Amino acid sequence: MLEQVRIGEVMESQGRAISREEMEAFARVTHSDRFTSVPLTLATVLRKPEFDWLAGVKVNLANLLHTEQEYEYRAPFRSGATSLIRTTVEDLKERTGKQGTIAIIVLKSEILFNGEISVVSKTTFMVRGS
Amino acid sequence: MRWRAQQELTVVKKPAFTREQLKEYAKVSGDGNLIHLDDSVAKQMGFPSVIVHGMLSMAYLADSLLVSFPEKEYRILRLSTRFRRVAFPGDALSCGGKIKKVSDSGELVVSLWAKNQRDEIVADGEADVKPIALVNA
Repeated sequence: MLEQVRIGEVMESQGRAISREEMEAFARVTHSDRFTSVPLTLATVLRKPEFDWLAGVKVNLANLLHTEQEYEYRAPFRSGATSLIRTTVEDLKERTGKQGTIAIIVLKSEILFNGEISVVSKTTFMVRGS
Repeated sequence: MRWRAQQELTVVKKPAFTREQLKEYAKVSGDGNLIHLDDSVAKQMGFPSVIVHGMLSMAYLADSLLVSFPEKEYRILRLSTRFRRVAFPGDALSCGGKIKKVSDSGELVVSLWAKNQRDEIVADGEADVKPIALVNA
């Protein structure tokens, strides 16, 4: 199913500005009560291109399990500024066992503001029944 | 505060997850995967009910980190999480951790965990933490 996916494949997508209200809503729902600046996992809201890409390669999102996540913070996250998201397929492994085929996909997304990398996200997804 | 290896972080108890919270999180995060929202989809996938977004557990870990490392004094440089076990609405997480390593200059590597009310590890991970004084040096 994922034959068309190539390790090293890069997708770039225009991000969007995150409003103060959106940031507050994120903090509220995640009970991020202690942040005076930006909740550490706020970058998650800019990772929609990853899900669009997965849907584009015909992954049924209901079969998707998020198994690992890493955020590396290189520069302060800027609310209100438009971002660019550069996503790379870091790894793809498929194996077949008793429960069918399982694919492990690792995506790296760099979130840039004005050409500067602010956050590097590394996400590992397990796709069941691929 | 002067940290030493193996020192435990303050354990933080977070509110139990609710279905309403999952709906709201799907809206604000853009992760509208039906496995978090629709029992019938979750059951098709072999779960008894909708499951909590792993990123919500990670957000809890991130917030609890600030109890020991407030933003005024520390900068978090990296946060990683492995999602070990699925959480469900009604589950309440406690988050803690300990100092894994202290560099000569005072930079810290911290191991983290989030356990449910049955004392089962739901997520664990690691953070790199730097005192602001070193960031500005």
